[in-house]
Amino acid sequence: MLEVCDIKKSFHSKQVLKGITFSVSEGEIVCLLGNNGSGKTTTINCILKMLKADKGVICFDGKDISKYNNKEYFSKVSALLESSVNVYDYLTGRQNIEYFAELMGISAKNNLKLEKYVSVLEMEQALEQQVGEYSRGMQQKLALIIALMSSPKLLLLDEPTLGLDIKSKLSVIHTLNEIVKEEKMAVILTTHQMDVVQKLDARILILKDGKVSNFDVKNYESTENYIVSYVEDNIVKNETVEGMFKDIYARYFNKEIIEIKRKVLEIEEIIKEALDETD
Amino acid sequence: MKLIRAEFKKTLTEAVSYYPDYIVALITDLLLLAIVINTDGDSGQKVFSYVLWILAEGVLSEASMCISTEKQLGTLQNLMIKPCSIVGIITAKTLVWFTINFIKAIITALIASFFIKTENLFRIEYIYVGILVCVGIMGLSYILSAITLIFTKVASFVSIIGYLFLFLSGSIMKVPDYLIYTNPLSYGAHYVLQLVAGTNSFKDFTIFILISGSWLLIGYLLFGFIFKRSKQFKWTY
Repeated sequence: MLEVCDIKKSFHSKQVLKGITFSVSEGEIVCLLGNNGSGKTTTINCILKMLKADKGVICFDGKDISKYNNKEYFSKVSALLESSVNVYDYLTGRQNIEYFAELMGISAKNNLKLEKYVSVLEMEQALEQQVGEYSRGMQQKLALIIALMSSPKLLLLDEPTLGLDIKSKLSVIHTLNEIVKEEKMAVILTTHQMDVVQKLDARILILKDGKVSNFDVKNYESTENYIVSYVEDNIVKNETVEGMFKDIYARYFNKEIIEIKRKVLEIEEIIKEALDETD
Repeated sequence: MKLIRAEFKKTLTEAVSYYPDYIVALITDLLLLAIVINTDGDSGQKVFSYVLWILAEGVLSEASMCISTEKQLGTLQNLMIKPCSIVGIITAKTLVWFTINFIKAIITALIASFFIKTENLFRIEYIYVGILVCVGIMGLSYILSAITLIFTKVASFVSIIGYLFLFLSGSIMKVPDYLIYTNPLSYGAHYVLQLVAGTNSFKDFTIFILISGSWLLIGYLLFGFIFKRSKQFKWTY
């Protein structure tokens, strides 16, 4: 559905994207991870046609996105941007929905999908209130409802769960997993919340040093990390050691070893390790 | 049409929320009206030029101001990724503000009619003169909007350009002949004089259309050029 081919982008002398290539298929969630300043927002802005890449092509449904006009492109592509305020605080939640529905050329009345999203994200009561009275999380939920209500084919979400309480975060994750399956929507998501990454049925892409790479947890599980427990001066000590089992065993051979066990890394640690690898 | 309706509803709600701003703007216009009436010259013609300026100034500045406000609120980026063109959004915002300023202009003219005695303050032909002036000024509004998209602070200087046009309207002072053909507002005010005197010809009307049309066309083309160029570098929302 979306193919990003060898995108390069520089600002003045700083090359932010050094030729990134990836694709997203329908019914797939792609999680774009990277440290601050790694180029996630630049990538998203290029996909959203707000920035023009210096080199490379982005194709949506087999057609170069620069060939689409805004009406054609953004009736199929929707986004929720972290850097943007996505709702007007002097309007009520409902007025915001109606305003954006008119911009998108859809009806907000008797819209079953819209009602479903409002209900799933528990926003029925809040719709008549002015958005200025909303908490950060409620504003985020309203913005997500607006991004979803046009049933886009491609949805770009920049930190969608930022500021949400646990219950709302789980509803968002559940909703995303569900709509991707049901509606074959493609989702590109950025987040720094590893619990979100874990709970989403997502493919992970790592953006680092201006390049993007596919991230496979299995590759990192093979990392030889062990926890060695031994007794020294009547005290039990635990040390995390990297290396081959036989080498570690040889190194601690003279100590009173209790146990050498393989350290199982949490996904958060694995991703952090991947991001920091060459930094 | 949906875009205009959506913008209209939003602007009305905004106007209710921030009504003191609109009252201040109306009072400022009335104070300026008092100055205009008390300067030398034909009061009727000056008041019409002033009313024409109110309409033109609204078209000139509001689109740019709206973009600046949306940028400062942080909502512009979200508007840019909706299925409507940015030119469409700017035009819709301008049309909404043209309507609001049209009401303001009528109120101003009505109040002026209490203080000056003139037979030519309300004529049906003024409507197309007003529309032609605003169509031309719309071109400049496109350019200012495009620059505001890149440099937010440009909107702060738009009011200066607006007041420059007050002089060019001929409501404060007589416009030099060599400036009359340079912009739609000066020519519009000049055309009204001919209209009142009954000396206007088809040639004058054609010149009027050419001036306004060329301003709109140049503005539209420059907008496209500036907007396209702006995608080369980082936006400051």
